[in-house]
Parts: sequence; C-alpha cells; structure tokens
Amino acid sequence: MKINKSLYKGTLQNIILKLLATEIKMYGYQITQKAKELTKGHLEITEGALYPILHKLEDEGIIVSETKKINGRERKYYLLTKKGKLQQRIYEEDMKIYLFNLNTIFNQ
Amino acid sequence: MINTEQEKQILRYLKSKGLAEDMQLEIFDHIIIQIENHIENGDSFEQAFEKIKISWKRDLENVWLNWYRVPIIQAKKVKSIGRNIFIKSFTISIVLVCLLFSLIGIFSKENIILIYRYYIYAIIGITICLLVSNIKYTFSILQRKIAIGDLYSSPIISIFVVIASSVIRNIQEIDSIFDIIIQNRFLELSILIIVIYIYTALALYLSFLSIKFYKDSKQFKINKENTFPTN
Repeated sequence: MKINKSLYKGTLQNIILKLLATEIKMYGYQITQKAKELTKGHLEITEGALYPILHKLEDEGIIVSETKKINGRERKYYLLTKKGKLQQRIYEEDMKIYLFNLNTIFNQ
Repeated sequence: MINTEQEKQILRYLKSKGLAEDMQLEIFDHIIIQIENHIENGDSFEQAFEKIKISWKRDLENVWLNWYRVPIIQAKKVKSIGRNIFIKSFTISIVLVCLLFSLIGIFSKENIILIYRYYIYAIIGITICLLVSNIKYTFSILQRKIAIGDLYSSPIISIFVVIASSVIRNIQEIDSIFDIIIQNRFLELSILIIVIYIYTALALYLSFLSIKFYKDSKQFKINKENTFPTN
C-alpha cells in the first residue's frame, strides 16, 4: 500500500530526533535505512530532505556532529545535545497528543 | 570495495555539481554506501554510479539562489539556516545603526569620521579574511556570493557604497554640501534616508559576515582532519 509522502512532511524532524534519541549516534544513510526498516519500507526519507534538516538542527544546537574514520574515509555522526534531548522529549509529548487526536478523529 | 580512483570519480562528480565541502563530506559517504550496496547486488561500479546519479539528480540539480546557481540540497540548507542568521544580523545591525547615529550627538565630527572609517575597514577586513581563508563551506560560498555579488556588483547598492565612501573621503568638504542641502527640505530628507539606508545595509552586511565567519570557523574545526582524496 502506497502512502502519500507529504503526510510525513511536517513530522520528519520529529522522526529524526526520535531515531537519534533511541540510537544515540547515527549517520545520514543509517537514519534513512532505520526509518525504512521500522516502517517496513513505507517511509523513505529522501537525502534532499534529510541533510538540510540535520544541518538546521545542528545550527540550532539541538544536535551535534562528530566525524570518525571508517574504512579510510570520514563519516559524520549526529547525536543529540543536552538541549536536544530536552527538546526531543517535548516534541515527543506533542507528537503523542497529535497522534492521539488523529486516532480519535479517524477511529470514531 | 570501491577503489581510490572510483572515489575520486565520485568526488569529481559532486564538485562538478557545485556542492560545498560541508555537504560533500557526508553526501560522498552516503553515495559510496549506496554504490557498494548496488555492487553487492551484482552491478558493476559504472552501472551502480549511473543509477545513483539518476537517484540524486533532483537533489543535486542547480537552482537559482539569489543571483547564483547552487544544488537544490544546498539551497534548502541555506534557506533553513539563512533565516536565523538574517534575524540575528538584522537585530545586530539595528543596534549598530542606532549606536552610530547616537554617536553624532555625543562626539565631535572628527571622532565620527574616525568611527565611520573603522567601520568600513572592519567590513573590508572581514571580507578579505573570508576571501583568503579558502574555506569552501556553505556559509563561505554564500558569503562570497553576497560579498561579491549582492554588495559590490549590485548596481543600486554599489552606488550607495560609492556615495558612502566618497562622503567619508570628502567629509571635510561636507559643510559646504550641507549648506546647499539645508535650503531644500526634500533634498535634505532624501539624503538622510539614503545615509540611513547605507549604514543599515553596511551594518547588516557586517553582522552577516561576522556570524558566518564564526560559523565557518566552527565548521572548519570540526572537519579539519577531513581526508578527502585529492584530484
């Protein structure tokens, strides 16, 4: 079943933050794969959406990056900052309320 | 699985798309993983690379950003981060302009001339720093574009800059100019608006430069041990 991708649009940032909260440290490609795996292929985060969000979050001090040499080349990992962890919990609470409301509307 | 020559090929492709180094680092890694996955599934490097080029075509396609063409993915980054920088710069510039104009009432004309000169020197100094630093991140690229493109090449703003610099150079003779202006209220008001505009633009530019220089330096520190294969 194909799901309209635009439905995820406003929630991408929350999804990325939740994944980082769970996995602690992730790199770009890993985030796209994890999202795909957890949603059984329904959610494919495009690179064009992912990297601008990651860089924006980094600029806002919500996440921080560190580079590690893997197989002779640099890999950029992202992790939540202290401020980011706090922010993520708030976003997650908001998200749960949002999902609860959607459930109430669509399951009546 | 991918050899150095193939890595160089990928990097050349990314550079040909005009991608800044801060984005190149992870997109380069991302593409390599994708190509390796294709190779594991039986494709040759060339076949895999062609497939990846197609899948990245839209994100790396060049679009107009102000007066320049940059890849879509970078334009998105600039748009999302640029807004925050602009708000910060604008706030700082307002403070700077207010400060400069409040000085008129406090200091002598000589001191004001001196302050304005240092102000211009600071702008030129930071611009030169950015131009010679050779840091090729989103902000420095954007910075150069603003510096060279929007400020100096933009016909309207460059006229203001020329007027501002000539006013500063010939400020000793300004009394006689004011004598003529003071007799014409409309001209007086127009000159005042232009002067406020020039200093607001310069203050905005100075703040923009400083914030971007700080961000680029921070980014440069993160990636200083970057080990890209060289061409």
